[in-house]
Amino acid sequence: MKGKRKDRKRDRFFTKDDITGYLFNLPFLIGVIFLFIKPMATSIVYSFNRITVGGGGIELTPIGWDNYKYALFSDASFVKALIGSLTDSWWSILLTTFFSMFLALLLNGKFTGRLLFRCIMFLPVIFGTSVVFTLLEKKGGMESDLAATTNAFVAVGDGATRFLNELISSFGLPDDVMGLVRSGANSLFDLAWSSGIQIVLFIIGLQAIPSYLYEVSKIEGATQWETFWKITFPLLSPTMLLCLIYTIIRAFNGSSMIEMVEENMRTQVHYASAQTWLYTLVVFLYVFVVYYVVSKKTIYLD
Amino acid sequence: MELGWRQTASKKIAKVPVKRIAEGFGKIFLSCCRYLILIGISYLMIYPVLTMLAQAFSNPMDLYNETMTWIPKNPTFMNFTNAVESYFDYFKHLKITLSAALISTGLSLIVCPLAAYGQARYRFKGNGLLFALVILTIIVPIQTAQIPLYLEYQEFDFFGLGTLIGKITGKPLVFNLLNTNWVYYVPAAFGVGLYSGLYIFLFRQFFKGMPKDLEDAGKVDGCTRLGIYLRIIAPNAKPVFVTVFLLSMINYWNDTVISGMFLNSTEAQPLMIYVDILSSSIVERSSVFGLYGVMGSQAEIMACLVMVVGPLMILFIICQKFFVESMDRSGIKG
Repeated sequence: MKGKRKDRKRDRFFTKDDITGYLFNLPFLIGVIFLFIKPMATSIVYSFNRITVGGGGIELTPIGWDNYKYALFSDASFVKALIGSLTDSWWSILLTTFFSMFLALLLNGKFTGRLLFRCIMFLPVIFGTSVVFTLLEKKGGMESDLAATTNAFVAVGDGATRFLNELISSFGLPDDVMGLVRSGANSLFDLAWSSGIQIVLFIIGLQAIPSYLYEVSKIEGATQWETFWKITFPLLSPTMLLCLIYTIIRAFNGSSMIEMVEENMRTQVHYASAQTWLYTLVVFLYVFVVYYVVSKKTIYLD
Repeated sequence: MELGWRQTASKKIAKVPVKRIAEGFGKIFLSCCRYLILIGISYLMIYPVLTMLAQAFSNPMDLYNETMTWIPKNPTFMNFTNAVESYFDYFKHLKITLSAALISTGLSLIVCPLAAYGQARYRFKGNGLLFALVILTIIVPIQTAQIPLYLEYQEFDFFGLGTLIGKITGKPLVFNLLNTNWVYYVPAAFGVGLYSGLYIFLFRQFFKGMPKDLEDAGKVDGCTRLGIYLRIIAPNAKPVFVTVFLLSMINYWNDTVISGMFLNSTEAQPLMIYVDILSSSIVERSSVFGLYGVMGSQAEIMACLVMVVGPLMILFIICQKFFVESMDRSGIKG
């Protein structure tokens, strides 16, 4: 009897904790309802309609699943871009994650010049997401066209990779091996520039590993190699999960899909809405699968 | 017997230094590897930045020169003055960018940690749902809501309040936020700004990792719930605040998505999108003058880029020590 009453007390809809929790979240709640859920719902409605701009504003004509059907079965470029963004990205996502972990491990130890190197590694955080970087790359491309005709000078985006290419060709390896190494070097440039925030996340994650674990392993006589695989790597797994998901979202948001959608938004809002929802669904499934698979192996301290 | 003892002793004596020397060599070798890799990758990262600086400060004619290095032969401010005097209204757009970045970041730093703290520490109905919404705001691309948001901002009535007031007083309170910086401030103030979801997530993970004893001590001393947050939690979370401040400044500074959707008038555009549009018009304009024009445009674009990212670099250099050190203490659990 007593227990039941207690249960009922707990089941009351609002306890003091509830109200405080909601109060802390009040601004976010308002924002998410009016500036996220409402526009997203409108966009879902759009995707099931045909939109024509009439005299009095926007007119909607319901057409059911036609926009989705068209995107999936008639628009070859859309399906191609969607599949392309899936297949092109997975290895670069994995590479970015491991590359940034590797760099974070290098940057984490105590050594002279650590501050300087860390500052340099933050350059991609500042530039990596911005127009400036794409402009630098674009300008590089423009110049290499020019360079062909005027024999002019070193291009910006090309320069770094060209240096690497020269370095590689000086080793005098067989041609097919060289080609492989060369493409690796070219993608190293992109890799280094796309893993800015991930390096920050990994350094933060490394700092979260309590130092007593390392002390214990040292006393027990473990080598550095063993310490890494038994302590650092497992305890970095939550960060790795975060990084993977962040990289996936970044990769998708920078893919040709988004450009296509942005282009369509100007002319056919209803079709672009259907496209983004299909696209969001795919990203969501992708993230969900990765989360499900990786979080099974993730180890949390506590 | 004696011999055996001596043998083992000599073995011991011989073994220790060899092992130590080997270890020492191993350490030196490893640190050499570390420096080699770091220097190599640093080169990749510095190269475009230094080239940008070098081209911005050099005479366009020198760009032909194959012996051109990272130090311009005849350093000039010519490209900068040319750009600012003839077509680049730098300070007006700088003001727009600065206020957009600073105010939105400030608002995010108030709202995001509050929401995160509520989600991390209080068990309430819908807590999980709220967290799912945070994740959704990160995943769903903002382009999805472009048109509905455009309509919302075109006649912004404070989420229905303005229309309600209009029904009572007969004069609806409606504003057009398009082409003003309010398209940054309003979402930021309600925790759905640029990357706000990511910041809520980061704060949430950090608060979850903080010991509860701190709050219990506050409770015993008779702090209110908000008081506990303001006096105990927030001061102890300084490292995350610094990290989020810098990330948010960078993201708002670099934004072209929101400005591309809602700030169509050139007068109201922040630097980043303005320079993007500008660069193509510079190339067009200068190609009339032949190759020299193209080189000149190259140098001028680089000068514009330096002006655009310059303030961000300065901010980073000022905050850098604080930021880099704060990472060591933030210990966010992923």
